[in-house]
Amino acid sequence: MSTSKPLVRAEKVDKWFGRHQVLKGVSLTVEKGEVVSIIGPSGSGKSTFLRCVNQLETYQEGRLYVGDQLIGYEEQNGRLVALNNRQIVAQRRHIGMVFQQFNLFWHMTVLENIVEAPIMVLGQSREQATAKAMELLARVGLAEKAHAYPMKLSGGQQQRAAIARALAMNPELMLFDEPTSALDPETTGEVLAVIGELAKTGMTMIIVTHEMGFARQVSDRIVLMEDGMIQHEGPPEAFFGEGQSPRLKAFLSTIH
Amino acid sequence: MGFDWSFFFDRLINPGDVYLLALGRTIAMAVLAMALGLLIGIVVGFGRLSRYKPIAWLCAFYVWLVRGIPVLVLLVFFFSGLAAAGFFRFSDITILGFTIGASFQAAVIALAIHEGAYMAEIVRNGIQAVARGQIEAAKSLGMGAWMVTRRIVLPQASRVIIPPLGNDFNHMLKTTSLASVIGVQEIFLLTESMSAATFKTFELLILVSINYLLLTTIWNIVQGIIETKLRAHELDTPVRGWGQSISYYLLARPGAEDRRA
Ligand SMILES: Nc1ncnc2c1ncn2[C@@H]1O[C@H](COP(=O)(O)OP(=O)(O)OP(=O)(O)O)[C@@H](O)[C@H]1O
Ligand SMILES: [Mg+2]
Repeated sequence: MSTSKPLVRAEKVDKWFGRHQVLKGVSLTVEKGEVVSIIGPSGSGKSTFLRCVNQLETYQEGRLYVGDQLIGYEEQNGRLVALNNRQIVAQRRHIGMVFQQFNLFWHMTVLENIVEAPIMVLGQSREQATAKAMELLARVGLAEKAHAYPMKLSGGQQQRAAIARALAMNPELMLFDEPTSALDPETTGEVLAVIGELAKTGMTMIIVTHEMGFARQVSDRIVLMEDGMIQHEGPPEAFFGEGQSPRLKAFLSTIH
Repeated sequence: MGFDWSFFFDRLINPGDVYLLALGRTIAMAVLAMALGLLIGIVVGFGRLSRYKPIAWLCAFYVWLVRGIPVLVLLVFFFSGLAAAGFFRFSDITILGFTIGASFQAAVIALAIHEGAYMAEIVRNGIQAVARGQIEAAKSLGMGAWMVTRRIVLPQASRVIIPPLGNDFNHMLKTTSLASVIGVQEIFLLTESMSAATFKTFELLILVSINYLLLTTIWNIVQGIIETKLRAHELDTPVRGWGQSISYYLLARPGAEDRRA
């Protein structure tokens, strides 16, 4: 692992939904090029944490940095002052997110889905964006589906297209929120293969997943989240090898 | 007694300039009121979803008020009511040598206000039909609020909005006949005055009915083509562009191919 500044640095992040505290002092660092998987029981705050990173949710306490940017706030005399919408949009630009439900824009073809943001947000020319999109589609094995509408694709194909769409923005960080949970077992493999390939390219990734085998194989580090807190973190060998903590044993036994 | 066939065919084939002008008024009134109503509907529909409660309440009030009043009452209210109270009196306007009558203006405004209340509900429903995940995906790609609205929300909402909007326009084409009570020289008022002069009431009413049917039928076809274009994403053979939409609508058997995958 590199010794340069970490790409993601969460320091004691707290998040409430009304009176209900969902993140309780979450601290986590992710180095550039590192792949970190977050596992944990349902309702433990995994999605919420990812959504705080790209500001689909706001956290209330603590500090969350991506690169040298403090996410969502400006620090003024030790106090957090919320950024305006324009600043939030700018911070989100280089963080890609892949959702459990794919969320491809259904009124656009696969190709249109992918070139939309590069053209509208980054101001790329249509030719440039299309060339890049076709390259990405080839990479995820969907070149021949460029002109298909999402409704006509299988779940696995839709998710691979969604990954290509996020990559088209040249993200420095990719967030995956249970990317295969909505898929049947046959198509899960093809999506995991694409994510695995991406991991090898040195992309920094945080992956929330229930696929333990995959997490073990692809991750540099695994994080167990429970009740809004990080209960355990370490390299996969330590996670699945001997000498697990009782908590970890208990969780792993619930899913195997 | 009996049906005067020669009168009927004569009028059918050669309606005359006065009648065609009245037909033009009917169409113009419907199109203008619908366009204005759509505009009102978009503003009020978004307004009802506003974070700012007073705006949301005001828009809800408008919808409640207007939907509870008959169109006929609205028409008379705008033309005679406002003038009688001394608030506002519509007067003829001449633009480029073309005179737009006071009653015509009042009719367009009243019909638009009526339509706007219904459109507001249709628009609101359309916006609410856009899934949260679509908006989140757009945001996560770095799109700002206005871009998300323009590129994702409105195009998706329009798929939901267009069919009921088309039905409303079909209604509107016929509702214009009510403007006869405030003296707009559209086809129904003309039919009435012609029947008073000729006593061919039965023939003339059939003729005017045929006219309304013709208008609504043409509109149905146009609407079908627009909807085919908007449903491109769910057709087995996606249509691209208007040309393909027209030929798909006219040639393909609708219903045979348009089931969802
Ligand atoms: N928008 C919201 N409003 C209120 N509570 C919420 C909201 N979103 C999530 N929560 C609550 O926050 C807690 C954490 O939810 P989160 O979705 O982060 O869990 P998760 O670890 O991703 O679970 P899963 O594995 O089921 O996806 C849950 O108790 C959930 O009910
Ligand atoms: Mg979740």
